[in-house]
Amino acid sequence: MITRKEIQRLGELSALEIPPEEEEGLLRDLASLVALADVVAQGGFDGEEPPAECPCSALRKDEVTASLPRDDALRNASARQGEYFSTIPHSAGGETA
Amino acid sequence: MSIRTMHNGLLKKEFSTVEFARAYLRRAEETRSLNAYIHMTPETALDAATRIDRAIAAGSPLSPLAGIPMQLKDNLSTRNILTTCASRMLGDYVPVYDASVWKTLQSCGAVLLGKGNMDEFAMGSSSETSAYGPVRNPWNERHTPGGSSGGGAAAVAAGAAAYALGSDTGGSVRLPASFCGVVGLKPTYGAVSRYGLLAYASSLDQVGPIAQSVEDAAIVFDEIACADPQDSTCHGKREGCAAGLRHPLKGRRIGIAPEFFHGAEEEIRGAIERTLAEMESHGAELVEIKIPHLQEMLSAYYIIACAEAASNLARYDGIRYGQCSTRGVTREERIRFSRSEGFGAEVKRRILLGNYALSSGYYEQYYGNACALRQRAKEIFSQAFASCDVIACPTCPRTAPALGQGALHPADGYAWDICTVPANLAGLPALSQPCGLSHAGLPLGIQWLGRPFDESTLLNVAWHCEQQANFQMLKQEVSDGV
Repeated sequence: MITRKEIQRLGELSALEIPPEEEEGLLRDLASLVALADVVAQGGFDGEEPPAECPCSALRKDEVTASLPRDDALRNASARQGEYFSTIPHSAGGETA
Repeated sequence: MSIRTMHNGLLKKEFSTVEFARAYLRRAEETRSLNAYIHMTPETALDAATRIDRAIAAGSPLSPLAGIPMQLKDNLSTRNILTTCASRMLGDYVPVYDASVWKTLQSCGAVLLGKGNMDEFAMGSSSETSAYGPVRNPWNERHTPGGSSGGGAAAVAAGAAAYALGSDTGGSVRLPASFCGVVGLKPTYGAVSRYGLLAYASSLDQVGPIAQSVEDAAIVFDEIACADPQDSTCHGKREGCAAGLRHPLKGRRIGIAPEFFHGAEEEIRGAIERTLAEMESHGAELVEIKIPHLQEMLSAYYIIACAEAASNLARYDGIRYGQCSTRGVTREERIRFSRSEGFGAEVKRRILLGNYALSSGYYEQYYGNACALRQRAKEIFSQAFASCDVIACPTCPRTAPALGQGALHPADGYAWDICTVPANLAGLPALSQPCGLSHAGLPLGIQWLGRPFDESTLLNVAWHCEQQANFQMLKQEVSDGV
């Protein structure tokens, strides 16, 4: 059973705001989706071994090739400072860095 | 008009590529109420058409797709052309590179009419979660066209594109094809490059064509299914499929699993039974098989898809690209506000469910079991294909619902996918095609599942089915009666 506390924890893990007015609807929706997921959780498939092989069998040669030009990489940035992406600092404060 | 007829008409100069492109652009404009396109690209289309007209005049050899007007789903990257994934998050995102499939189609001389509307980040089965409004079904605009590639299916059905490329993670090409009465092919996982496809669930996603006929789908598939060094899972295909369509049906074994028909509407069950009886009378052999655990496969699919979505969509932070909020004083707050403002409700629900399944204490119970079931699903299908060449089943247990129904209870909407997700879980090729009309005048779909990398047999059987179902004639009769 998903709780309000768990919804808030999932919001933090997912980097999503969960306003209090949306909690009730999300609780209801997630409860029905978790019930769907429980079909597998209770299905007793845990004795099955997942495949060991990697699906990547067409790896290209490990050679140095041209990468994305810097201007292209920065083209969709919300803000830039010279040759870098620009963002506000990790800790509190409104300056750009 | 088929792709082959268009191609021959262009070569014989019965019409020019530019005239042709203009006619399709006009048709797209006339059918605007369907909301099948997020944005049109008339300049790109007319530039490409002009180049093809010059090539025809010079007598240069041409691909069968040269000059054919088409649509790309808006989750396929197009250099210098807006690619929104139907999300506010990417409302002004302009890719700096092309998806490999689009690069291939450009080299074929494809004429891009525009980018197709879809469910946001391909998450949905009704094309209603788009930030640009819902797509409408051309057969009845009060009904959903299915999703998530609803824009492609609606455009092809309405004659507003000759074909479209969609993506199929759990049925997103086949379901809209079924609801709109057109052909949708999900190739084997690894047959078509995913490079440049904005990822939803990387181990399930596959790009595939939506077309008017099986032959058109085969022609497009033959062009786009090639190995790609940019996608390590992409092997391409083994042989040309269009050339083998007319291979005799006699001796082909069609597997029928009663489990796929549980809960299917009576009209769908009846139409498929009639179609299969017709194919049997033309030499196919019907074989009863068992495909257990369908409900568990649906459950495993949603766990894996949501877990991968939570991981893939973690990259949208509003810093390197995408919606950036003006709220928040720390970087973490800014990212949280950007994501909360950019993503719609369905995307948020799936991210939350994915992180729930991946979080400490639940990982083995949900994700571990889902991966184990996926392995079991591959074995189940491998055993089934020992006694048959293809499997026949409904594409969806129901016909196209009215708009708004899927949004009421998300889990009910997820259940529409029960017949389509097994192919994605097991990595199999699958195709949906029309096999009749309901009493309400909505298309009914039949689905074929094939062995991995055996699209050739799948398309051959579907081509014979098309000859017998004669849906095009039925469609014409309906249009004439209106």
